Amino acid sequence: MKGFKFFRVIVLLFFTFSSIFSMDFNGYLKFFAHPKLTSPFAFDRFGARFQLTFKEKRENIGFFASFNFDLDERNISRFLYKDRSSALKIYPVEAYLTIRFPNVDFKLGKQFIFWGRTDWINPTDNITPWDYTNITAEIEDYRIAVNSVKINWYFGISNIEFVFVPYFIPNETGMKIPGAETSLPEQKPENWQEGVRFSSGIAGINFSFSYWRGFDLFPAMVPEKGMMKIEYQKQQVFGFDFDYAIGRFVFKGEGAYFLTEDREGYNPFIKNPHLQYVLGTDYNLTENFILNFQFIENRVLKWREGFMSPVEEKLKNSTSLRIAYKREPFYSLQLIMVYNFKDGDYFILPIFTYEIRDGIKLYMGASIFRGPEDSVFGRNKKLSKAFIEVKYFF
Amino acid sequence: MRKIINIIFIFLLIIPLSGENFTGIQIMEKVVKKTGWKDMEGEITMKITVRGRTRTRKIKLFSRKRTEDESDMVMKFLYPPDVEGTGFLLIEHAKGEDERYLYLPALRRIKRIAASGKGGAFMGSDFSYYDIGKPKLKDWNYKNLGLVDFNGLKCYKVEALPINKKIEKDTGYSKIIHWIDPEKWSIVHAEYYDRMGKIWKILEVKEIKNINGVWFQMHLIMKNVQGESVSEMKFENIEINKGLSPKLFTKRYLMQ
Repeated sequence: MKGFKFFRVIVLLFFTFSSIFSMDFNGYLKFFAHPKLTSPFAFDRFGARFQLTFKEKRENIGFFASFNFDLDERNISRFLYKDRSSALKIYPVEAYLTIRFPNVDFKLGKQFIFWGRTDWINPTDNITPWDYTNITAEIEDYRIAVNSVKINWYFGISNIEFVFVPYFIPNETGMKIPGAETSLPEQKPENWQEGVRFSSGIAGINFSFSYWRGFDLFPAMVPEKGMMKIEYQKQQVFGFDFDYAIGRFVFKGEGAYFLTEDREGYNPFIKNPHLQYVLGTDYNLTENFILNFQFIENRVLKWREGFMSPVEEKLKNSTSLRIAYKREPFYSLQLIMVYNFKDGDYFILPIFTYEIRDGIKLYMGASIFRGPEDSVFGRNKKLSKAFIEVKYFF
Repeated sequence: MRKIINIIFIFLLIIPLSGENFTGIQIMEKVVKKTGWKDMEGEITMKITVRGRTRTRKIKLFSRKRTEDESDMVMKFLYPPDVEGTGFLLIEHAKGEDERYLYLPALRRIKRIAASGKGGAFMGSDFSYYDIGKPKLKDWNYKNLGLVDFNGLKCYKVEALPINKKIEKDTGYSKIIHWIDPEKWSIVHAEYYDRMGKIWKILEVKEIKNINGVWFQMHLIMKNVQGESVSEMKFENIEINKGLSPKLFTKRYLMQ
């Protein structure tokens, strides 16, 4: 009841603001069901979402805000009619102000910031966290916008981007360890995150160099007073990426050197410095049929036998594949897959999108994690789910 | 003697009017001259119908000729709301690969996409990127097939054959036949043949308007006679040669 009152207040404020400032507004209404694919039943969900977006764009200034109103029903045990939880959740997805100068764009507020050019696996993309518990057809559902300042300075075909994120938000992994306390970095100036990215192009090749100083978005387990603690560790990331198109191919590459706090590799509770790179290509088999194939390597540096954490692997090779078939503007089929060679674990995301009519879409698919229990994707089996969503845009 | 000279003089004047003396390339040069523009801004409403199902797309389009052989184009989707904000940028290069970028607001990032050739479908419609662009005269051998009657209008019928297999493969056409109104020097009807030599698509131009001295095709219908699809493209709020800023044709603008 309290939630419903809050909902009404937000809607009232929304329409008041949008009429006072004659802002444009739009949004969508969606109904969704996320049936589980494995036990336990922690992520069996169904519900509805109403998203309201308002935006104002003038010559040199703009404002954008979108709010989600989620009525979410979760099944938290194997009993269908028991142990259910339902809640109305209201939260901003994004809300930011944009100021444009002749050669500079300034963006302040809660926003998505993505770096990198490769598909799905982006070593340089360490700013916007993931929600691995909710991978569906839409990026808004599985990435979490961050409060930040972004400044882009454009000159010629080049661009320098400065990003500042004062407060750290980690990935949502769904991981819960009984008795382990989670410790987020304290909100103080030493823990502010910042980075810079230079992008340009030459002879048809687009490229970027980037630097990011922040925290690892994934948690680490460290012992403290005889107990285990979940914490997030500092790292610096030096990145590079490129793309080049020729004929029906777009070649892409992205790599990063992660400089962690364990520079010499003797601390088993802090990740060692490591390198990760992705090399791949898009290939337009036909106009409607696109393939993407990538090779991924992760190499741990300063490897010290006897001083390594059990989750670290000296060398890990993976591959990813994306097959997309689209018949615009009616429907599209997409299959995304990531496979780790050593453990044989994999992640598959098939998505079917159908435009029922102008502005009404149906999404169907599944996010499937499989592999041995101690492998990266095998550990996340419980996050596997199917999804079906119908979305009406207005 | 004077009478004979007069007859010869009158005969010489009449011959060009009969049209038979224009070569195919001369006609196409006139078409490009009379319908060509340096830059253009406007809105397009596209209706795509396949087996009775129709989807509508509205876009804002900016285009400019950067050089004689190079154009830039940027499109922003306005309707329906689920694709609003989607942007597409095409930067043509006379030498080297064209650059194509797609901005999907849902992904919040610009993606470089492969050029699927000039024959790629424009917005998923029956129009290809080649169809909506300016014809590159050096890519085709044109032949004047004479003046013919087309819906009560005297038109030049001009056959275009690709100069080589590469152009044929790139556009997907083995032959195009144009019907050209000699008053406006604008294409009013066309037939497109696939690489097997079979008729593939038929273009009907429903409305041509003079904007700033340029004859502009405002309403076009492209029918795929091999499939069961038809695409209708209507232009509105067209402005021509207003001197568009080069900043529009950048990745920065695409994301705004």
